[in-house]
Amino acid sequence: MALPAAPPTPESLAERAARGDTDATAKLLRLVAPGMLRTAHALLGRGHPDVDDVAQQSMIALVQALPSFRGECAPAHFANSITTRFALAARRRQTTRASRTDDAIEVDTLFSDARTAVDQVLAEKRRAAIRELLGTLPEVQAETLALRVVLGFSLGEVAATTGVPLNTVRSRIRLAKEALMERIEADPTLLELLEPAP
Amino acid sequence: MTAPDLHPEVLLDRAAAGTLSPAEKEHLDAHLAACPACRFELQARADFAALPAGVPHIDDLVTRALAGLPTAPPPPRRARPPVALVAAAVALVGFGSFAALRLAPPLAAMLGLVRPVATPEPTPEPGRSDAPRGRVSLPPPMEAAPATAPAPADGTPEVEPRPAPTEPQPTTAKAPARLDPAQRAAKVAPTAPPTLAPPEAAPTAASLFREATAARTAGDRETAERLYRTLAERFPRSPEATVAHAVLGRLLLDLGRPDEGLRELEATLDGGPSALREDALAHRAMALDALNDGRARAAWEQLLREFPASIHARRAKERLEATTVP
Repeated sequence: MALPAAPPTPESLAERAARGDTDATAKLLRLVAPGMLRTAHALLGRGHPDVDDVAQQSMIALVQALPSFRGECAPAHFANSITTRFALAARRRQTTRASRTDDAIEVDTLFSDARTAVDQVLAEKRRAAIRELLGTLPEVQAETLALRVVLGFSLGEVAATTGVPLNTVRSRIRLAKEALMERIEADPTLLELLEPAP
Repeated sequence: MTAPDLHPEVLLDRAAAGTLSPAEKEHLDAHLAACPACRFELQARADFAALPAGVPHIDDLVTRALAGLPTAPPPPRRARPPVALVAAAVALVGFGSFAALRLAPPLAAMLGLVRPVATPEPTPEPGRSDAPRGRVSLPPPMEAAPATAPAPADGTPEVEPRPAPTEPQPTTAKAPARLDPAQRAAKVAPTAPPTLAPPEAAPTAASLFREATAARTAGDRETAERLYRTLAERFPRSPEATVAHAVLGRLLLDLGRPDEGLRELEATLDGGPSALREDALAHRAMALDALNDGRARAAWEQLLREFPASIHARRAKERLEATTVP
């Protein structure tokens, strides 16, 4: 009896999907969709009304972009970076409309693990502060900071995903951090959210 | 300025990866003590990483996106455009434009999920002076708004779920994206017969699907079932209806009504795109199993024949072995 075929890799699925293989497209989307939705949640807040729209539009955009995806980064990173751009666009739109829906503490994330409720509240306030900052930064800085802080990408991963040199990534992070620093200096309550320095 | 100008990004990466040497840790700790921004970043990274993954309705989002994918293969790959042209194109149309959507068929529009709109005016982007390489192929973010949101008055393009073009349209056209509120009022109010309900009151395939999904994820299966059925009856040719049959089939299976579920799944197979076929075949076989229907074996065989690498293949083989007559 022949051994079962090894499951296809995300890279091979992306390659086949780019050629119009709908079966591969379905499998790839199922593979990367949880991460895309998680990215949308992380950037917008779980209660944001645009989360589903952002996730779904990102999936559509991913399929559209696959024919020219050249494998500079992992397909999942590519997918998450697309979601990041859509989510940041939604956040900017929300900022423009001055409609704030995500500052509330995400109740369903509270008490979900062993951390204390106070820790959870502080953590969500820090997330909210980052989201708010992302809505005010220039787009490329916001995207870079989001990939790094929200998705946890390394410098190299950010460079590969965004297609810019490492030094450009460093420069964008530095500028974003200057903005973060200004925000902290302007709002001392943000310092209270921080754990003591080591 | 009291904060350091340079941040040890490499050390932050190594801290995240757990690969700091003792000397590096000492260096990083000294920096963190003096730099609230890096301390904030480090803690925020952990905060975001702690967010739970996955939500119950992820399958709906994927299935709905898959339902309307075009069956024709995309155009062949083209050679990567010269970087200079890419940069020029990006600079010309701006980051938030619909350039990629104009170059390629807008899949979102084909899906009936978004409405193509006029390209926004290029706007200067002070922070966009360093147009990135290799990103021309990535569709820029579409400006999206929930169906219930008011049309933006700031000129941003309006994109919203909409019924398939073949479905009945509201008798009163929705205002174009670029009309301001006064223009919209002038266009809609005088021409709308007083007996007509306002446009937003008319359910669309997309709005019904959204409500059904919300009801289902909230655990209100009765409402979900009713809305899915309404959707399938009122908008039988919409992509949403195809997905509704599939979701309803699985819902009814979960509710212990395999006979009704079977009908919905077979409706999916009758008209559904190939992307839904694998799941529908598998759940049809499960429904037949639940009904002790003799066609179950053939259904599992069909699934394996059409999708030998299916995620349901193991289950199919187990069922076939279990039903093999010695």
